[in-house]
Amino acid sequence: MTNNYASETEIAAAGAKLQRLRDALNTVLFGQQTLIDNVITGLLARGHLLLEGLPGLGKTELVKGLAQALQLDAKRIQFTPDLLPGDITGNPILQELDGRRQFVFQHGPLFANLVLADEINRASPKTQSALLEAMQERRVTVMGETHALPDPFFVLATQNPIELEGTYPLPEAQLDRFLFKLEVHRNAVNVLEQIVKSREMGEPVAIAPVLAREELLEISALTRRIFLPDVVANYIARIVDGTHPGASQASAGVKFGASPRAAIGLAAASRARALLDGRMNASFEDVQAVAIPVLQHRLVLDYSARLDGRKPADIITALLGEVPAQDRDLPNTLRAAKI
Amino acid sequence: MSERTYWIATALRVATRRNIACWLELFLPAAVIASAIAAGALLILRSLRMQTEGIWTGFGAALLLAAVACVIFARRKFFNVTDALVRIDDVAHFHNRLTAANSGVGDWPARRAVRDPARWNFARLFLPLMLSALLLTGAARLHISDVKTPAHIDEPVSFSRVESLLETLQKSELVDPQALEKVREQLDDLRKQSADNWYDQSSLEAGDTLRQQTEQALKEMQRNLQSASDLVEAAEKLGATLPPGQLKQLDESLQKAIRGLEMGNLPLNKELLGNLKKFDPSKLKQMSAEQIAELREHLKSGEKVCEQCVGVNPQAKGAFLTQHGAPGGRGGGGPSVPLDLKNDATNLHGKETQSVSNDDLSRAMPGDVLGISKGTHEVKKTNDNTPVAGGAISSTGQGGDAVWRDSLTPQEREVLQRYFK
Repeated sequence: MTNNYASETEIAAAGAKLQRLRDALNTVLFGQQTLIDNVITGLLARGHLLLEGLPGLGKTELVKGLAQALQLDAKRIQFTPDLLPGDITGNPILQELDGRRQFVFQHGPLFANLVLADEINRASPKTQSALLEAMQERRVTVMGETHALPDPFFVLATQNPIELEGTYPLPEAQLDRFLFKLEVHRNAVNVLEQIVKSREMGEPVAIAPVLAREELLEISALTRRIFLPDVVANYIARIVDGTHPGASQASAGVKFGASPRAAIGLAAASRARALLDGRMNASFEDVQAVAIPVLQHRLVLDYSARLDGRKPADIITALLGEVPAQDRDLPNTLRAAKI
Repeated sequence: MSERTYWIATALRVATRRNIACWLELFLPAAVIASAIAAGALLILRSLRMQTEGIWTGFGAALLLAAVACVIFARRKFFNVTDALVRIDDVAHFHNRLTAANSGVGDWPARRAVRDPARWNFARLFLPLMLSALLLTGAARLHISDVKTPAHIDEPVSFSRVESLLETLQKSELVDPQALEKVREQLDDLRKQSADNWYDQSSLEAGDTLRQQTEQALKEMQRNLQSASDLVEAAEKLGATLPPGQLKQLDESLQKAIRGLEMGNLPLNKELLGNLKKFDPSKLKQMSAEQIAELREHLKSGEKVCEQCVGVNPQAKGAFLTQHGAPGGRGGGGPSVPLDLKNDATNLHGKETQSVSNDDLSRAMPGDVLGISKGTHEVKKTNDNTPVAGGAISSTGQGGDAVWRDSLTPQEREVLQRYFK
């Protein structure tokens, strides 16, 4: 067989490294295994992540811990309404060198491997748009000069679902650039107890580096070599198609469905999850596991659905129940049984 | 057996089961349709008393054809091994390991007993089969009665009456056959119409008219024959003694009777009529006593035939003899005395009042009571005020029933009686 799919050995080696990363992040964020797995999955798929949760749940800590564990250059930008595009991309500064004055580009905080865009919805649309090119093209253009961003480049943005006065909700085009939108939920009592016992106020969490930058790039490249069966690709296509109004029963209340970029993201995330799970191929279960984080911020609900209190996650859950893994209906002479 | 062989064999089982289900999904309705058509054809052939073996052959061929057609149409839904592996992956949560292994990525998973959780839908399977069996069994076993023959309808009484008269007359050869044939044609015309129409008003009226005409003709014939017979008898007995005037009167009466016998609706047999015409009261001596007796005998037998057909003629017999006196007794009675009406009624000094009956209703006078019948109105005795259809017939007449009913109230009858008094 002359395929270039990831081998079992490569996957096993990658799996061991990823397990170390998981363990490290677990020391930062207690009881959030699913969130940690999703964050790692997003990184492996080379996607940007949007974390949404109440203040104090550990969003920033998670990103900081990730930067430490991966030994990546990490920058944190606190988005505020008066933040200008130049403040994040960088500005040309007039400098005198050898008696001659010239503009020298001063790199902004975007020039890092890991950018934490804290409370991204507080920045003006102009600044948010500046982030758009950086996220999609992985480069910035200032005064007609294009500057490539470092590789890898991840944006982990956070937003607060409360205190929405004076904020600028991210436009759909911007949201579509994020691979995942992850919701950070509060911890259970036993987890809180563990946090209380192991943490001190104001004391930063020290995490030992577990993965070098090159290793991350290697594993990320390996993700692309995970086998995606045709039936799984077909399943992804039918799910994404089903998000559009009228395409499925579950899509009732959806105004605009997911884009092809969502389908690409779903496939990449499925592959990444398969690798994280130590498998050589993506599966229906992988698609189902990442469907909500990938699709929920890409669906635009109509007014009535929002009034009814329906959430995109509910629609996606219903859609997963409606769309069968195989595109073949069971004949009437056979009766479906609970699996 | 390698892992690969095991899983491929499992997939084949899953695929076969599923493909049979797909085929049955199409075939069973087709079988029901074929059964319904076969059952219908079977019923028709059985009701026509035709051979049904061909139906079963045709049904078998149709099923075979349907089976092949269903395979062709169901093929697009059929599972191959790859599809079946995906199905096993899905139901056994193998994370598509079988699919990947079949594509050459990764190893085949370890053997494990896996069954497709889809179960046969027995209701879907057996209902069409039972329906088909029911249809065919019903069509094969259902009792089919003989082809329904129209109910026998007795012909109206008037038809059979005329038929009876014609038969009697034909046997006796009393009447001219052509005249009989004419009456028979009329009767046949009435009979030729559909039996359902025999009891129509028009048909009944036509039948009654024919009967009345025939009977009337026979009565006239009876009267004329009687008259002729009397005259012949009178001529034989009184011929020599009668004065020429009365002889002429006798001859005229005889000629009148002969004309009646010749010109009536049922003319007399030509032979008898010819013999009668030859009879001349003034030339009795030219005829032998045997000839006259034979003629009288023929006339008497004709009279009897008429009597058989229409009953006894109540008219007094031997009018001529009565009027002119029979020789009777020694020296004969001589001519009769003319009857004179007195001014006063004869007082017979009778002490008892006797009722007088008049059997001859044809001579009844207005005001005579011809018959009494009791009629009561049909009064609705219940308080049921539910609407009923207008014009509904409460009592429909049967064939041969009187369709007219006297339903006069006592008051109405009194008024009519007063009027006719």
